Amino acid sequence: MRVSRLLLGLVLLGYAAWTLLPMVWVAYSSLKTDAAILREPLAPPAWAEADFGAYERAWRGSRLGDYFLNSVLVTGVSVALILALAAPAAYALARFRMPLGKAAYALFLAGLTIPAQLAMVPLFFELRALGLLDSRLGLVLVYAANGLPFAIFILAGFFRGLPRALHEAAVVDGCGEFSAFWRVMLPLARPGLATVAIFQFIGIWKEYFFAFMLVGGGDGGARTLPLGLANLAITAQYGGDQARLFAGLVVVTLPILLVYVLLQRQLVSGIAAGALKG
Amino acid sequence: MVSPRLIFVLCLIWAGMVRAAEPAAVAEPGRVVLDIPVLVAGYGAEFFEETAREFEKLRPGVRVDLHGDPRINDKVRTRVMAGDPPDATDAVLLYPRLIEAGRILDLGPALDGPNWEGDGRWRDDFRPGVLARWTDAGGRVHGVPFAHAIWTIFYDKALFRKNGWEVPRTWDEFFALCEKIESAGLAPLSLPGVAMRYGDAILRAAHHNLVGPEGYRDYLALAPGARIDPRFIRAAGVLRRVSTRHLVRGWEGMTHTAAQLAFLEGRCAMTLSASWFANEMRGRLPAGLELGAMNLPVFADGISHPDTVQAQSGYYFLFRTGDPAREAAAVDFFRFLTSRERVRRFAALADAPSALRAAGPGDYSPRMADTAALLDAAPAAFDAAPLPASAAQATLAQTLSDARQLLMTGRITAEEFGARLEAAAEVERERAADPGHVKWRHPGKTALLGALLLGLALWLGWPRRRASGQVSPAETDAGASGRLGARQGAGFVGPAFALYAAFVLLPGLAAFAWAFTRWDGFGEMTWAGLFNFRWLLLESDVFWSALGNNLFLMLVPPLVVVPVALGLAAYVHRGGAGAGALRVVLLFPNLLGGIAAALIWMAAYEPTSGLVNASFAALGDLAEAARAPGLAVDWLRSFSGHAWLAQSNLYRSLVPIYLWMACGFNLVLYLAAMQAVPAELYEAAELDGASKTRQFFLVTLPLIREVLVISAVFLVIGGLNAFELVWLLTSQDPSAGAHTLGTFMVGTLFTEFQAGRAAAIAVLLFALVMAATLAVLRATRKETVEL
Repeated sequence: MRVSRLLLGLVLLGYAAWTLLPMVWVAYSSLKTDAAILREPLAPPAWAEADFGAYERAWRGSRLGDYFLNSVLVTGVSVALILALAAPAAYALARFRMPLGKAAYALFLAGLTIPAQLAMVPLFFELRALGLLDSRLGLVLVYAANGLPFAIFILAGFFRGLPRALHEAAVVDGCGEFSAFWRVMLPLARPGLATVAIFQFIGIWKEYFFAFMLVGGGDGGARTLPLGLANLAITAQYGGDQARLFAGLVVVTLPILLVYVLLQRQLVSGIAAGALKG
Repeated sequence: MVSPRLIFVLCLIWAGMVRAAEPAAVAEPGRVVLDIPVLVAGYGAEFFEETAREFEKLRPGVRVDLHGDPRINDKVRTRVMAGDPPDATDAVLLYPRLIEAGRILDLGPALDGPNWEGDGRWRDDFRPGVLARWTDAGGRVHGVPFAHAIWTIFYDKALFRKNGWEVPRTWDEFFALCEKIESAGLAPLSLPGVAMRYGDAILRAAHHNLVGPEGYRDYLALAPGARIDPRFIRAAGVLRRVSTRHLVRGWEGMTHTAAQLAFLEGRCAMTLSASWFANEMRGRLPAGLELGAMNLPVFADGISHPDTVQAQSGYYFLFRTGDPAREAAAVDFFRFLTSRERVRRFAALADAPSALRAAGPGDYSPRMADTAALLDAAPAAFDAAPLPASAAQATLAQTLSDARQLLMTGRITAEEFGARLEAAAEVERERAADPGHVKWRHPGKTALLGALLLGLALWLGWPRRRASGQVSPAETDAGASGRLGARQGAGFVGPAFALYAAFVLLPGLAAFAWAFTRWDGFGEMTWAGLFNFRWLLLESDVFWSALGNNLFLMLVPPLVVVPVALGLAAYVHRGGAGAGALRVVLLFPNLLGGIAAALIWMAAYEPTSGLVNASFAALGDLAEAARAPGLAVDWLRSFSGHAWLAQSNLYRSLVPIYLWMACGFNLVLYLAAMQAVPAELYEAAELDGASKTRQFFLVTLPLIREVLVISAVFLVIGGLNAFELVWLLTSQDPSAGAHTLGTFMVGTLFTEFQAGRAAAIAVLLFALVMAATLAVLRATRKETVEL
């Protein structure tokens, strides 16, 4: 019994190490020169001569700073837009009968299974016609539209669970339907809103396919971090600058790590809530 | 409720985004702004930027917005598609199609005019023959060549001297040399397996040498039989022999840079590259290196002149912008770029030859002396550019890339290689005669897929479900609050629905319509009936290999991820030691996203300098020190130089990445479901004397079944939609056999400019995702346990 427990512990420890090692390796290799990475891939850098030059090359030379700002802006506004639009829609669809309500809900749900690729080709030309290619606004609208089905699905579940008496009390107190929603029902759905926000934030922050198709061209001014990072990887390949790529990866990872450390609990409960509602 | 400050902040953000959406460079009145993105793969942007600044000094009314970027191919492709082409570029595009569409400027008249110095015809400044490549039958010239690389084999002169090796002139001498090098314990040659098209340099050189310039022209023009001609087979045999016997270990997974470094670090004696090598490796060339360059070998019975060089010129194409001032300024800029002073400056700065006569051997560094001598001694050059000569040949290029990969890894013979290419050429010849032609290559697979989908439809439709269709949640719910009128309802739901309709539903529906058309994105959209579907299903090899790859990703990663995550979740649920920390650690990779994961693993899988192979080597050393059995040590060491990302290993190498990324997320899902299982059930099971293991199978598993199904559905859908991992791990250019349906669609749209066909791929993908989802849901619907 004790031996098998020890063995299990070792296996789990190995598994955790395997998960962490690639990231740790990238982090400390970013302080080495390319020649050192090639000669001794595993060796830690000589701390005395650790070289931070790769960070400067990544941040300045590869415009990661700009892309970071784009990502913050695009992700933030998209998530806000999703919440602002999905909450009233989910509320009305979940709690009221209305003309075409059934059809609208079914169409939203269908969006959960439609692959993003289906709409991609016409969408590209639609944005071209609207002059929204290579713009952050265009990307935000697309992200928001694609985030709605999931948001409505989750939020409808939350609104459905609220007691009818609350709504009735609000109406008796003279609230219109909208202010009943805004003042009474919406604040009660806060956990649902948080779940949606967390999921959408993670999804949009790391999204690549839409970004690649819709803001990959132009002068590159609207690119988000995932695109900038992919760009950096290709530059590193031609210039043979592996350390710069590693530095770029660290720069991209750090904010996620920070958010993760701060929000770890909410994140896990968000996923869990999503799982049980779903 | 809503604070004015919040509204103010939102307005600011909105304004910022709209402003950012406007073009960044707004021309001042009376000033011409030229937009010229250039590829900086080999030569760096420095020279071109300097030229732009010099030009602005000489022509004060013009600003040249010249940006160098190794990724311009993608950028410019999307821009051309977006109807916003630059003034000029050297990005790799399907120019024949753009020329057909009348979007490229004809430079013929300008070339017959004066050169920059004004002392001769511009046309006469170029090396003989270099303008011919983009000159059409009507004498229109569509591309200006500038950089002019030649393909050579680089070697270390000191190393050759020390060992008494001679530079080979014939292929027989070359292979004899390879054997000598190998017996000295060194690998003969490196080339980047990630970009296998480097191998074409050998194929082209040998073939051109055997068939001569006329024969080579016929081959390019798809002459019947050219690809099964014994001389072509013989040339392919040379490539096969080189790549299967004489390349450095791990070459299949080497990038451009890795292959060059293998040579510089003395792991092989020679490297195959064009003359951009010295420039790319600048600052990395060891100080004492005596860099030699030899022409590719010839046959004793070859008919081309033995000193013929294989050149690869960078051509610039000027787009028709409809603004005469801009077009004239762009032509003027290229006249300046090709002026004598600039050409010699390029030779000095980039240490690379150009397509113009002005630069002589004295203008380069001593490292390029051999190259300059080869160039000056050459009576003729033939163009190596793999660009298709006509739009129809894009699919031929795909076949070549697929067959080349099999040839170079020794899985097909030179004869089979030739036969495949000839068959593809035959299809192109037939299509040239009849554009709607489809060759029935995969009728069996198509029939099988059709039968499967039909069977699925029957199975799903057979027992009519009691409650069919989607039920609006309000109907069944006790908490419902009544009715809303049309007006009020629209107020709540309208904005969300409008956005959703505009950017998801309508383009999704449009895809179904577009799938039945032919459209290149610029010209007229024409009805094509079922042609796109027939072509994809019946003829295209890429479609079926992509579908096979998707199938692999749908089935294999879930089979690994689900059990591992489930086991770990069970451990964490039981509160084993370090359970909380384990959960925290495992979830993190999921948040990084596919891009960071792909790049981390791309570096880790690097054959010589990556974490994975280095770890295996270190474990091998440990095992030896611990006196482990020799077999285990050998096994661990056998990974040295293993090319994980070579096309033949790529998909297997993706499985650990999937596990790495998805395990933590699924663990959290399962854990949440496990925690929702009422404790009484376990207590009851305990009383009945069930062991922990039995409890897991009898209580836990049935109760979390629903979550397991959902996570499996997501993994399966993820496998069908796989895009970014494959896209990045193949350096955004998957070879024909490495595509997934997603990357195939992107390539069809942006590389081949076939919007209709890309939409057809999307529709097929959609049908498959729906079918797979419904099948999984249906198969697992029945015995869900309700709590």
